[in-house]
Amino acid sequence: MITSVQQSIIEVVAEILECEEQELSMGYRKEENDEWDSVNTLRMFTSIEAEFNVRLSMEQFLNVETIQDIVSLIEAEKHDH
Amino acid sequence: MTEKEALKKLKELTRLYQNVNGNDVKHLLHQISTSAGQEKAGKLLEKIESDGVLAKVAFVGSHTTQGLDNITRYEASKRNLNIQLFTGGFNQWNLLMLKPGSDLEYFDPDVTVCSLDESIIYQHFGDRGWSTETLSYALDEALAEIKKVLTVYTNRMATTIVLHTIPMPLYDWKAVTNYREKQQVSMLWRQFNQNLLNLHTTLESVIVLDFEVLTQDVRETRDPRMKHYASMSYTANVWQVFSKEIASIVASIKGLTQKVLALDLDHTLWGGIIGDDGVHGVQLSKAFPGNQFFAFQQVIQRLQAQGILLTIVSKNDWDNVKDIFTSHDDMVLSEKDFVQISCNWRPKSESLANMASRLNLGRDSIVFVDDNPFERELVSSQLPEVTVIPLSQDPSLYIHDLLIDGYFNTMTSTDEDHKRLEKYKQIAKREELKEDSASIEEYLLQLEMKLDLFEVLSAHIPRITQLSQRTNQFNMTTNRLTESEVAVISNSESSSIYGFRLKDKFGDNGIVGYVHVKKEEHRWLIENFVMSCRVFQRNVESEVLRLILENAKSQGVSEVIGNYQPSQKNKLVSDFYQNNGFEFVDYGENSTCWVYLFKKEIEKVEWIQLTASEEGMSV
Repeated sequence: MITSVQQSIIEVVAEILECEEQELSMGYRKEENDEWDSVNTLRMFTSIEAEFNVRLSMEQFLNVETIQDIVSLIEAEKHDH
Repeated sequence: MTEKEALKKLKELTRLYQNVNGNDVKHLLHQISTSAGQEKAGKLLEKIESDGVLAKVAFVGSHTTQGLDNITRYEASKRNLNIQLFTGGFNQWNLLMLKPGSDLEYFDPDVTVCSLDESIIYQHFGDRGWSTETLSYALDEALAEIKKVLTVYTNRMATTIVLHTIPMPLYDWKAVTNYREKQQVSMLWRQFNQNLLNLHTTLESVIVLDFEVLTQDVRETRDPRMKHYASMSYTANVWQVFSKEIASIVASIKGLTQKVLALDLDHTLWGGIIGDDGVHGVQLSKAFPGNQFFAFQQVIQRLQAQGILLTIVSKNDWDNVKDIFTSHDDMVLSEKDFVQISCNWRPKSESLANMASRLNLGRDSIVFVDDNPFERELVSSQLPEVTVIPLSQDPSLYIHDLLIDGYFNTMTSTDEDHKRLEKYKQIAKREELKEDSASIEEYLLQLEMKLDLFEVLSAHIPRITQLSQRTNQFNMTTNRLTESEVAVISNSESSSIYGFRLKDKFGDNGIVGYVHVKKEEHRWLIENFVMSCRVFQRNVESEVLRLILENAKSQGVSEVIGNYQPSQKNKLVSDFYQNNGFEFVDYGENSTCWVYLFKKEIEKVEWIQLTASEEGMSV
């Protein structure tokens, strides 16, 4: 069962990497896709902040390796408040 | 439609690759309001073939301008521009502009946007630490460099250059600890920006936008994380406001500036409905809430003084309207400010089309302003070239809605602009025509109207009474009812009040009218027929009348009588019974009397569907 946070993240990532949502999963890794470069990482960062109305740590976000890592960052941020 | 849904639809359109209707796209674009959403939309638009006017826009800067290009494409698409973009690399602005044969020169832009940040000032600090003297020196050096680069570039290229003033970073001001020096620093910095704003006097093709004025409502202009990680000095929220100006500048260069402002009257130039509330009953004054409309009119007058042609496109009787121009103290606009006035009951799309041909102006030069989504949708579907401004529900936002996109902006104003009004007035004459249009029927069909006619219950009494008290235009006899009268009539055996509500694809209009019927064994008498002006011109009244007549027939009635009693404001309905199969009987006391004898079949209005009532008994 996929959560709504997971679904939203997949939508954002798919849009920015210009791929189909079906290609993505929680374990999908940064190095699997050349499009996941520093510019697109930044675009993900701003899109996700806007989408979830949260403020994330840039440093942590830059160290993300999988989609699951992004989900965890948002969930941690949500629980803090 | 939410922003998310609009973006999803837009994405679907990019997959079609063909037959994308420009108007459908524009409609979606207007649903997208966040900077992130607009940037996404701009990116998607690259994949949609556009038949708009081609324009080339280049972006260069001293910092990362990522996002500005796509948001500009978004804004430009709203203006029927098909934009090609060039984005220069980080801090390449001076090299690209100075170097002959650069990629920028090869691109040959119509407009070159050059976004600079404080780095072009601070680079001149060198090893010196911060001091007011060093700042003063660095500001001078930066200005000299900008001047030099722009002079070389404009000598070589026929392009308009857009810059903006550079805001002083908050923490560089905070880091100065004494107030005397803070003021000096602020003054020096402002002097620098003033010099930028003065560049156009020596370099004619340069336009400098005022950063501080434009971003005053922007929530976050800077994000330190983006600055440190990606050298982005300003946020996408800043690009959002700049892109509107860039689109206006490009539109102006390409001759797409709008010249005509076509205005609705009721709920637009004043609050309320003049036909119902009267000249002195509408909201228009120097105190709240009338001051919102007063202020809106003042802004319109300023546009008019700069050469924008004003016209009225209103569904109204001119006789009800005209006195407001002479007898209302707070009416800012006067009759002579308008080159053309259409006050009639024709579809507004026809009035606008006629106006454009009579004034010999392109439909694409018209901006149409109306509070009513029905009228706006009608005009945008029938006349896609016309720019339709989606006015907010709240009249305090009308000025924002009218001005925010800069539809009327030009490079310079000329004497010609100011003389335009007189010129067009000679061409135009007010006309009050009544015509039918086949295309309107198609449109009405698309509205998916659903009518519900029901016998009035106690819950409906307040609304029925309100309609009775307030409606002047579609009111056959102006026989006003109080709440207790409505209650008595609806409980009586020998008479009924039928209410009707109308839904369409824009939503539920609620109860929009009623028919008061007195019932005898073989004869029904329509005491009154009342309908709100919100649903005029859709033949709702004919369909309601047909349902009443059918119901009468099923109960063994052989004749139905209707009266028309003229008042000052109900001229609109003088032919109502005649136009709907009734025969003239005689002139009563200040009235005309009509009868329906079930000889002629009355046709169903094809674009109105019927629904069973949820609360009342269906007729």
